[in-house]
Amino acid sequence: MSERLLTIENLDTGYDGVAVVRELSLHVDAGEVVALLGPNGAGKTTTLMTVSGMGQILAGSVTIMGRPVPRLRQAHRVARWGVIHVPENRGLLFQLTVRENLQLAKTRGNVDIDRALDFFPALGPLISRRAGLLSGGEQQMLALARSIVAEPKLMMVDEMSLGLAPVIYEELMPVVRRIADETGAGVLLVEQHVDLALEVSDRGYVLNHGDLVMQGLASDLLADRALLDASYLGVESLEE
Amino acid sequence: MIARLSPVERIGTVALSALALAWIVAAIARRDIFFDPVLFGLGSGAIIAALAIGLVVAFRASGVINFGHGAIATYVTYVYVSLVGDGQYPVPPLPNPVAPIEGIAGIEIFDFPTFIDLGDSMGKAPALVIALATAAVLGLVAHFAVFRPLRYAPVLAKVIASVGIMLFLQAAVVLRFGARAKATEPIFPNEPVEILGTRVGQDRLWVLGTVVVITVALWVLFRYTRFGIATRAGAENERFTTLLGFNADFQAGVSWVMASVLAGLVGILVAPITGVTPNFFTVLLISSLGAALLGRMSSFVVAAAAGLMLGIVDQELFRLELEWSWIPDIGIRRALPFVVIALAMVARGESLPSRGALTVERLPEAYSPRITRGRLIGYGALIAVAFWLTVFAPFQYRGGMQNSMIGVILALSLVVVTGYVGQISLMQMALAGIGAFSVASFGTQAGMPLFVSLPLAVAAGVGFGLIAAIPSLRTRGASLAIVTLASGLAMGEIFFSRPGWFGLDRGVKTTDPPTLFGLEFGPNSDFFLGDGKIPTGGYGLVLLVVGALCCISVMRLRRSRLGEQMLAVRANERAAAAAGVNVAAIKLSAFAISSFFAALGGALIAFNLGTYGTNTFGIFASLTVLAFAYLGGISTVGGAITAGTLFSEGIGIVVTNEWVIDVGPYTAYVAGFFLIGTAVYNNEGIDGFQRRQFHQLGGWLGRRWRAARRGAAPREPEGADV
Amino acid sequence: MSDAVLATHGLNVRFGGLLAVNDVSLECRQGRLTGLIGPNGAGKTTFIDAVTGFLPNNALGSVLLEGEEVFGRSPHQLSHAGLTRTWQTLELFDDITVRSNLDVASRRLTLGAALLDYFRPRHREDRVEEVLDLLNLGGIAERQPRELSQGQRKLVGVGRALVAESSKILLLDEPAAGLDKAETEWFGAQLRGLVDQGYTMLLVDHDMGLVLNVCDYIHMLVFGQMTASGTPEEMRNNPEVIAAYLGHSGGEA
Repeated sequence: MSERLLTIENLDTGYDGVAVVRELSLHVDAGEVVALLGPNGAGKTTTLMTVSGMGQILAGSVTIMGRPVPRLRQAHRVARWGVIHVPENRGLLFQLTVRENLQLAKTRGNVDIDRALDFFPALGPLISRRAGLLSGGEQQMLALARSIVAEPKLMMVDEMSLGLAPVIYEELMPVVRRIADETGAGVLLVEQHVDLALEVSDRGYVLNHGDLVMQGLASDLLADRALLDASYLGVESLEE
Repeated sequence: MIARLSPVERIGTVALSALALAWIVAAIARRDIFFDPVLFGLGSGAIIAALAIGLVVAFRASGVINFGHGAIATYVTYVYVSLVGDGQYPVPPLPNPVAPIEGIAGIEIFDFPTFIDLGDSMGKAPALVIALATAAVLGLVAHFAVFRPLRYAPVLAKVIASVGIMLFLQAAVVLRFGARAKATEPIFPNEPVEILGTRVGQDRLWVLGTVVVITVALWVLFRYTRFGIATRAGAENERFTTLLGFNADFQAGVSWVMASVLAGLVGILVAPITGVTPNFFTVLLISSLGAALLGRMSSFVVAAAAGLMLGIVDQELFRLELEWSWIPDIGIRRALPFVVIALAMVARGESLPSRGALTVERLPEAYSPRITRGRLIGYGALIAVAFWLTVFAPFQYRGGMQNSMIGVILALSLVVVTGYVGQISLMQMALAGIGAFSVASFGTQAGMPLFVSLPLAVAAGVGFGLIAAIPSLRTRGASLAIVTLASGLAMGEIFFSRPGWFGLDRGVKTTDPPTLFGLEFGPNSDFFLGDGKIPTGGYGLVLLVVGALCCISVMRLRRSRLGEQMLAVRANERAAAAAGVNVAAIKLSAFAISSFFAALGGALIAFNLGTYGTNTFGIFASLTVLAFAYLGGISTVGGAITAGTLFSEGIGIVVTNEWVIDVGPYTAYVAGFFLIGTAVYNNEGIDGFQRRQFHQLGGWLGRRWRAARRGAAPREPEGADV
Repeated sequence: MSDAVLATHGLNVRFGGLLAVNDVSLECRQGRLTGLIGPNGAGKTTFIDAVTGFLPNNALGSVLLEGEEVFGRSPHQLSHAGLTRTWQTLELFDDITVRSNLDVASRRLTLGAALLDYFRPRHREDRVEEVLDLLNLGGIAERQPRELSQGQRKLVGVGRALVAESSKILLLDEPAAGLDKAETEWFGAQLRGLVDQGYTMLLVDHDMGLVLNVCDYIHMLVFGQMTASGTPEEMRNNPEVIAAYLGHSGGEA
């Protein structure tokens, strides 16, 4: 049994006291890739933000490697425990160069920039360019590269495919699998593109309107095609 | 970093460089005109530059434009001067904790120290260390007690808090050391040296060198260290930086210490050359704000270079004013910071880079006045007391009431523009000055009757207010605060400080008492309700009526459609525009109404004082008015009334002096302290605090009353709204 | 063509090198609820921003309101012309009551009107009362927005957009965001009711259930381009739509 990295139990979370996600329970173990799926507005991003200490836990609990999520003011601690969160818009600092962005992977200790370039050789010639000037695919590579050199135990990636052309994200998605396999990190992958995510995942959860509507092994979810589509397109299509 | 300037700014930079080149060329031809000012200007420019980079450090880490930066420099400098002078370390003015016991017992148990004696005059090195340690502590206190709690607060609260720091520290300096200038022994060798035939004090070059070294050091720190990179990252997006594990709080704390120590160091190095007065650095700070803004509050190099240029241009203009006497003396030199800031703002268009803070808290609530029977009784009682105090009370109370009524009107001017529309204005006393000086020029000097001169004076105030408000259409928040501060300074320098028909007459300005249809009703006039002592009750009554009318008109404004639109703009400019609100027109009308009250208040001050100078309407007066208005409650009429009682020599102060203790010299100090407290812990001011208390009390009484009624007659409907 | 309240022709929005909205032409017909869907980041909100005048420096193209070219006008002018919008993040005026929120948007405030109102306040605007009734907000008219539930706040947002005297069309930006399933259904029914009474709306949302359920006609944006249009029935079975939303490679659905 591998290490339990993230446990979410009966979580109600949201902003300004309004619950966006209700009664959510999920867990991520070391070395596995878990997909958190659902249409936009389902509450996936809110869930990740809550794990990173920037949401409002209204009920239930979130435990990261045995520790409860800190208050907003202490949110920076989550990253120091070895949790890397690549937010929806990739979390790059556009005013900083590629190298400077990589240097921020760790708060202390040496950052192995060469290792990042091993994973993504394409970033090499761009090392002194400002991140804001990179193309979407290069930005996503940089975000992943930064996560790799941070040597995380748990990695959360939000909407990696957002705004990218299919050829690019179909190349990037397997990298996530590789990180989990090679480093033993657990990965929580938030995606709206179901097939893409499930192809690289071990397990999956599907949220809709803040409620957990399906969960199971990735292969089972892929098999239950109709139900999966229905959970995306809304209840009404189920009735037909 | 320089590469990230807009095209307009780039053109400006090129133009400035070309100008610099021209100077050097001209220096070879006629060094006495062109080169000397450059050399002299570098001295003052270095101070401006040093303060500017300190501002940039603080802004980068916490998004605060620190109006107290100059005051920190001043305080630390005085500590140093005192240590070097006679080894005395000043204890911050604190209330003596056992004073009440002493007062009751009539004895003195404990002599609360004002200075700690550290032996005889201290060496410069240990004094420097102790003074800079004081600066570091000040920075830490500013961070932990003030700006960290304000991390998610609206810009208004941050600006107010930094103004509070400024007032507090400056008042502390005045309380401990007096208002006079201090000198100290030189730190750097000060023998003159000759450069290209011009003799210049060596010490200025040393200061310049130090500033250059510090600038380069900061540039390297922020460019290449992880701390620096993370701080830049935090300024761009605090959320992302937090996700990476960096503690924005820690970085802000370190930066506050750095900024404070830097401020102190500048002060200490400069003090021997220029001497130091309690507001010396705060006056220079306005130029520094201009320089820092040119560097977008983020580039040390541009900020420092701009600071140096400001110093040089200032000296150059000084020289030109002497050299070319045909240039009309319109005070352009002193207005320079404003010109620079205005240009920077127009070139930029957008407001300062806002930090991607995690959340933003609410602005103070602008309660809508509701007329209930209980309220009417309350207002009636208030007016009755005010009437008695104004007309029949002993003369000091009458004077206090008159000052307070003017204070209420000035505070109302801020309620409209800052409370309702959220635009921070630091020029209200300058607009008041326009009112005061115009009423004297039109009335007393040109002999116009009051019903012409007063409307003209108020119209002049409104006109200037509107001109100064134009940048508000393109800026907001702290940058607008800086623009209005600079506008106020420019108005003062151009109009009030110099002799002339509109300006001073033999160092003062004189206004005759107001006269209408042959009836003179000034404070000293033999007007009705006089008891032989000045000021007369009749004059006070006039002020009371005017003040009450102003209050009523602002209350009605809050309830009117215009007022609703103002609050809509305050809440959300974009959404207001989408809802069909003409945001620009609303802002301008708010500035116009606000200027109206300010100019009216100013004209009344003119009648009150009769003879007055420039300082009455200086920038510190403006900051103090904002302080009192915020302390009272910036977004309600009740707050303005509260502010009026607190006003300097207002009725609240008079009553305190008569009945409790003489707070006179401590007014600014205490006001600064409570202003910081109000900004940090209760942004609705005293009025909001009272409201909550009353609301709770009222709710409790109402429940008791209803319970009692229900006991008697069970089917009574709910009681009226309290 | 004749009954198009709002029509855009070749609307482009460019941010630096990124073409966020690429040559979009669509029509919203009188009394219809038109849907605009698309995956996150497809440019839906950008489209609304451009149409309502919030991107004067980035947008280019033609916007016709009842046949009149209105492109290039400022947001408040467009609002007076009858083109109003809501916001995904609501952006209500927090400091004033619900009624005042509507009041602000109800009528153009000229100098004369402001003065008249100041000296002779008339606190009940018929149009405001009408909209409060229409949306059943009468009971909470004197409350402040922050005291309301999320669903009520959304309705206030809609009310504020509806109340403009000359309102011709409403652009709704993600009105169902943050609502749970039941609230979304209820909210959708409210919208449908308004449309059935003759209001014209453009609904931007990524909740396919809501859009398919209440809209008359639907357009889909992907990468800033309009890739599909049709009735709800057509869109439900359109492989492009399913691909864009679910990322099925190769259109296996």
